[in-house]
Amino acid sequence: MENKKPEWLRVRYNMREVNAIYALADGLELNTVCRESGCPNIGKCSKCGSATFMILGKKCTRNCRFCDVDCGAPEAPDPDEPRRVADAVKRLRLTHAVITSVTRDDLPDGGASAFAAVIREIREMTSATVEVLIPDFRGDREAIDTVIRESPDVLGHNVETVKRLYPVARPQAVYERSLGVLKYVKDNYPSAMVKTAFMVGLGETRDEVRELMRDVRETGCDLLTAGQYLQPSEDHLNVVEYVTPETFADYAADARKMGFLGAVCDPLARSSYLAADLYRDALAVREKNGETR
Amino acid sequence: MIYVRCRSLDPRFNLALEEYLLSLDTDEEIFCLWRNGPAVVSGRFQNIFAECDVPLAEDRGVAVIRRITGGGTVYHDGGNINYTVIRSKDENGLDYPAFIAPVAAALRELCVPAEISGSCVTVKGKKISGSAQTTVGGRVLHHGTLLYSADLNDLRRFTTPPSACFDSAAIGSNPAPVGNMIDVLGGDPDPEEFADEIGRIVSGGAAPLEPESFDTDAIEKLAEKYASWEWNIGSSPKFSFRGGKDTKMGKIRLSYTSKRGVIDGAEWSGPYENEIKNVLIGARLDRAALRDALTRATSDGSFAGDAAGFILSGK
Amino acid sequence: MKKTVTMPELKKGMKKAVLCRWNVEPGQKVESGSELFETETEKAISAVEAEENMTVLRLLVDEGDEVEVGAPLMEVEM
Repeated sequence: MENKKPEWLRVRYNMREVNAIYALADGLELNTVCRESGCPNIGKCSKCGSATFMILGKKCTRNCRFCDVDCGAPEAPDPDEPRRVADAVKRLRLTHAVITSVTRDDLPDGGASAFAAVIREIREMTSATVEVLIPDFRGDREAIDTVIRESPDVLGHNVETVKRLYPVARPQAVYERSLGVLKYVKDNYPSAMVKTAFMVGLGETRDEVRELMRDVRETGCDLLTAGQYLQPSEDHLNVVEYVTPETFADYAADARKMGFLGAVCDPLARSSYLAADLYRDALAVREKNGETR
Repeated sequence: MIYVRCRSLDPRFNLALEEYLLSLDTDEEIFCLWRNGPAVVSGRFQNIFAECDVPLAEDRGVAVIRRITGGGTVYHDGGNINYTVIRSKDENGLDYPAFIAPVAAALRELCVPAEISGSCVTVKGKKISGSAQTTVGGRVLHHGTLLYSADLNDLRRFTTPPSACFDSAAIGSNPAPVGNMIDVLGGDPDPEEFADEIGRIVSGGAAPLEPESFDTDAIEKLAEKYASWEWNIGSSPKFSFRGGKDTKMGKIRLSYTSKRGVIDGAEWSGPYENEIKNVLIGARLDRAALRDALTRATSDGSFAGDAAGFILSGK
Repeated sequence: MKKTVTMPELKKGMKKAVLCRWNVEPGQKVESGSELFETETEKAISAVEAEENMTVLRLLVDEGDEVEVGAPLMEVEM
């Protein structure tokens, strides 16, 4: 692990601010994806007093080779967790709450009802807008409907990588199914902002990324984030390339040309990174598009 | 597989047939091919006025209908072939390509180099098919369009937003370029025969059933829904409108909100301000009804006609 | 008051890290929020900020040393 990272992969931590977020989460017996996935932005986001909560335990039923979240026997769902998440959102005074989960292939609805409950609780206890980042629920339309019915402001599902690399990076997922989730959501809930995210630096080509973006745009998906894959440990996939900030800027420009309402493409971008700003800016673009058409 | 070949061009009957087939208590796959006369078909959750110039469609005799699946607004005419696949839910879940594959394979056998791209089919980079799904009970309905020899000018004309007056308009930036299959096939188009060929291949040569084999009374009853204002317009999502129009009588400025196809709040300034003030709230978004109400209020039938069109399209 | 600043756990499960670079030197008065030192985790070059105003007394490890999480890095006066 001794290659020095490119200087653009540099972050800052103020441990007091980070620990304050940890303490709040611990006190409410909540997990954050920030901590569980080892996100390098935790210093920056803690400074803004924000975190992305991860419901349904710390153990994921899949084993994607790019992800640092623990895999293993999943924890029993806690029916009080949604209320505590809403409580955390309230205490942090978040204006935009982002919630994700581990993948729960063991649950009949994949955890959809837990997402639904979290959205309801946050709406009841706060005035925050709500963004949920869902797994594919194994393509279960009714599970997706369960989440759609609660009308989250942003509904995200990550495609993660280009089609060719799915067997390597995401063997338990299906490229077309993830695209299908995005399309099904947008078709059945057109007023939502639909969002996806992917990583680069896994060995994909520029053309493959553009094809991915076109495939995603075709589903009607509105928002996109793209970030550099960072290898959590020796057991995870190798970083094939540290993609330059210039290439990220190109991807962002392509995304805008393709008609995405918003795109954050940056080495350190993650699906929840700057989520509140991305949502707010996209709302403004949508309004402006309506006016200038 | 139950293969149904419907020869009616009545979009209300055909959408009712689909919904009827979806309700059948069977585990068998159902495959249906059908065409519509000119019709604008909006997605379940769309504001149809924002997606299509509804007054223009009505003037041109184009039916305006809402379907039960989500997604965007499409235009059907005799050169477009619709296919419907109904299967029981399985553990594969959402899988657009799996529902499209048999039709795409049939197209290739018919010398159309069809490729599946997400939930669409493309031929030499042009989109010839889009699709949508819904699920009721344990059954999944997937249907799609197939552009064979459609009038692409009309397609664009009737699926272009009429104005920027509607707030909840879908942002269709960079829609994929569309094309007809006849462009690569050449020859004289015969959509009915081409559809028969698709059906022959997908069904493995099975004898098709016609709608008459089913409970046509039940289908006709369902068709009433697709002819009703209550379904087509009355199930529109909330939206708001803001726009202006110059008329012989002066400039109209109007903003209104609508819920369930009815105006529930409105501000009108311009000609006949006092007369119109009380007429709009509670009015149905229906051109004939609006024209009548406005004519009664203003005694100016010509103005009322223009105004009714403006209220529904912003033009 | 004299205190030690220790290697923080920048990532869950992290056991040790290399101190790549010092941004301060003994005797320096440091404001809260300024960068004290840089380490490199698996994911990024991570600069750690001072949590409060402090004066640096002694640096206890050298650049390039691998340090366990929780081990003392520097002595400061707060």
